[in-house]
Amino acid sequence: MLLYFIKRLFLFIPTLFIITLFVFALLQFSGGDPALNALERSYQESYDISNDAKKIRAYRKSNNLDLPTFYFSVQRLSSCDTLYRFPFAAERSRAEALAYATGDWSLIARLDDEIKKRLNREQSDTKASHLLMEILTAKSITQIKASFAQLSLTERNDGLDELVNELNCNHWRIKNYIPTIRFHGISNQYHLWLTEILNGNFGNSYIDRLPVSIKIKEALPITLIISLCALLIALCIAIPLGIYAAYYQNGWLDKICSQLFFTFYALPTFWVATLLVVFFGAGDFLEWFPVYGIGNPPEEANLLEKFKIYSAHLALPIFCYLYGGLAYLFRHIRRSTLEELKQDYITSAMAKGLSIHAILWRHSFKKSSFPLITILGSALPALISGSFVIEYIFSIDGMGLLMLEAFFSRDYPMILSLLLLGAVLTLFGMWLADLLYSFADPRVEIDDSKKYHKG
Amino acid sequence: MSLKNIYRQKRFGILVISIWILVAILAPILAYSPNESNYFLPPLVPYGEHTIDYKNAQSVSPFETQNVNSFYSRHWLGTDELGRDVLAQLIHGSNTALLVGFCSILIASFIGIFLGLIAAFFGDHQWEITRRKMLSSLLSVILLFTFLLSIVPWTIEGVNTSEKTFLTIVFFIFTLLFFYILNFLMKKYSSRLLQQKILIPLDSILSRLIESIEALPLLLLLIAFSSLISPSILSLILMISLVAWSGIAKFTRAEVLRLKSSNYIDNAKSLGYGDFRTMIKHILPNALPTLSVSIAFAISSAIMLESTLSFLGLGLQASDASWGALMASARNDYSSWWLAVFPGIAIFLVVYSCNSIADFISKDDHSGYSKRT
Repeated sequence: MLLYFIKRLFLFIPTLFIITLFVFALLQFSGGDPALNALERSYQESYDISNDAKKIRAYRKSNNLDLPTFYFSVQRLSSCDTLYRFPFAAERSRAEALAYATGDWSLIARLDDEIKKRLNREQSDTKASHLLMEILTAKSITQIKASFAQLSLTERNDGLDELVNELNCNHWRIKNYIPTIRFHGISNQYHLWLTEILNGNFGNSYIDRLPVSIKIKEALPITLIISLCALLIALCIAIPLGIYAAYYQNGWLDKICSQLFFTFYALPTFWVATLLVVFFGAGDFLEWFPVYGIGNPPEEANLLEKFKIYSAHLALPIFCYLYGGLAYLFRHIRRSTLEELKQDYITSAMAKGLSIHAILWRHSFKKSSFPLITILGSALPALISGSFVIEYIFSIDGMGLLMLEAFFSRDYPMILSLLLLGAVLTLFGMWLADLLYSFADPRVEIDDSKKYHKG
Repeated sequence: MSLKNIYRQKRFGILVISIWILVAILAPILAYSPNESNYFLPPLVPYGEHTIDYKNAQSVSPFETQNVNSFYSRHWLGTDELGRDVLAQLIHGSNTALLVGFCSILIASFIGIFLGLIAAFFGDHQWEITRRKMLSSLLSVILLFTFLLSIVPWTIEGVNTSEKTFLTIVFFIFTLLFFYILNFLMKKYSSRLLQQKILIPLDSILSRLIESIEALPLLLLLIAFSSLISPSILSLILMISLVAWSGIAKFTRAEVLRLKSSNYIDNAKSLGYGDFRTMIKHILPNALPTLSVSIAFAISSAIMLESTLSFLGLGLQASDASWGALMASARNDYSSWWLAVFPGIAIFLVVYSCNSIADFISKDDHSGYSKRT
């Protein structure tokens, strides 16, 4: 059986590999420009438009963004094969649009070369150079032709007019519809990223250049404290209530708890959190709790004071965290206890004259708690990823907020690492749950078809 | 268990849901500004979702004295920061919630029920196809994806939608033709090796797929999607259905596995009924009541997801009224409680009703439906 678990551990590798591919593809199709984002962020510090291009080039170079994405790419035959080298999104979209419109990128490349040569010869700020620049930024054939017509009014254009006339010749543009595979070798973004990851280097965040691992290390404890507290409290509430509700089935405790937790389950977390903030925090009503961050106690404060500050800050988030899970845990425990109570061994324990509390806790709960292992195992990624909404509303710098920020600002290294972390934790949680389950309940057998058989 | 039975037991839930659907459908007639459009009936709320009441800007409370002409044009649930009526936005937001909740789960349940059904019904050892068909279908799928992802000019500026649609349809037809021709050629000229039949472990493949989708945290996946794709109702529906089908498929698979071992399925088989007839006519109708539980839960969670995403500012564009987005505006100004309370109540009522009906069906299932089989 141990062999089975080791085998499953090895099965993680292909799964994770596929997940990295998937995530990488998702980022590629997403659009958006991390270099531009980073530049906009640096504008807030110092506004200097003159070396934009230089900055963007340097940024793309240092983050490997000027490399092809994958080992190969499938493109139109007409398209530009070195699109990734253009530093600006506008240049890339122009190259794509023109290549599609003419059906042949090489034509555009030749035209651009010719124009650049001419531009070097021209003095700057003349009308001709202005028109040439217009052609270099034009996004359609008609625009190029219009600028060229104006240009040819003023001077002779030896090589250029042939090229411009050629633009419209290709009416069928058949090359647009023929796919080609272009190989890029191992010098690509995916390969470099993967080797870095395998070396234990998760890269630097695009936002503040800090290593991703350090940022995660800072955010992790905060989220863990909140989620573990919430989990513990939820278990402490749900287990006794579930057990006694099952014993006194259809009694007042059962009815009240079932109804209450069922109602809780339908309450949207972000609504409850906002209401708590409005009514107990920052609103005009009761200002009982601070609603910002997790508190920042002074260094010299003793343990009690620190605890006071932290608990005041964390009370509301923890409540929001736990109330939704309560219903789930309660129902689960209630159902499994109900099932256990029908068993023969409970009847015999009752016949023996054991007190009902002893039966419930020592006999029935012991067995009905096994499925909890599976639940806790599947909760592992949620424990660590935290809840976006809660951390967003209460401005807690945990993992959830870290993820949201990363997604909002297209912080690729961060998104990739976090998604990978989530996937690893999920797989590991499921694996661990199965392992613990099979230790806790040896009756569970795992046969070759990887399905559980209780017997 | 019939609809009548549900109605008797869960009158509140049915009432809330029918009111919600009615309001959502009638939203354009219920709340519009008489200055902007005109229908044959006067509106219930004389403000549209975008109508800005400048006289009552800066979040006016429902209980404050409002700067309005008459009792009729009072803002019953207050206004938001720009002076838009909260009730009107709630009414129009119900439209979005309905659209997202039902459409996404409709798509998701089609995918989920179909895949769960064939996974459980055929299992690992029943689906055999020849190598030739396998090869040609694989090649066609690869071809189709190549065309759709890299040939159709999705990202190129200045290409109109009709061209993209036309190309997509042409490529679909082309791939289909390619498949048939390839298949035909292989059938005629290929070696014995390609004519051999191979077993497809359908159940394992689909279970792995379901597991891997379930493995990633749902909200994380949705946030990742929605921060990458430009938000609109359509993309939101597609996104939610893409992540929601796995739950329904899992449920279907378990239920069909249970039903597959019953006597009447054996009877159907021994009578020589075809696989698809057995699946559609005999298994599916008996699985549906149980499936409706997971579908109803899925609808409520889809509504919850939509509002959560809109709350985070990832769901929809600002022009679409949404309950979540309305609540997000409460975050700018914590003292205007009405912006937070009313949309939340709307979400809660709808989600609670869906859940309670689903819960009722799931409890009733064993008494009502197992008897009929």
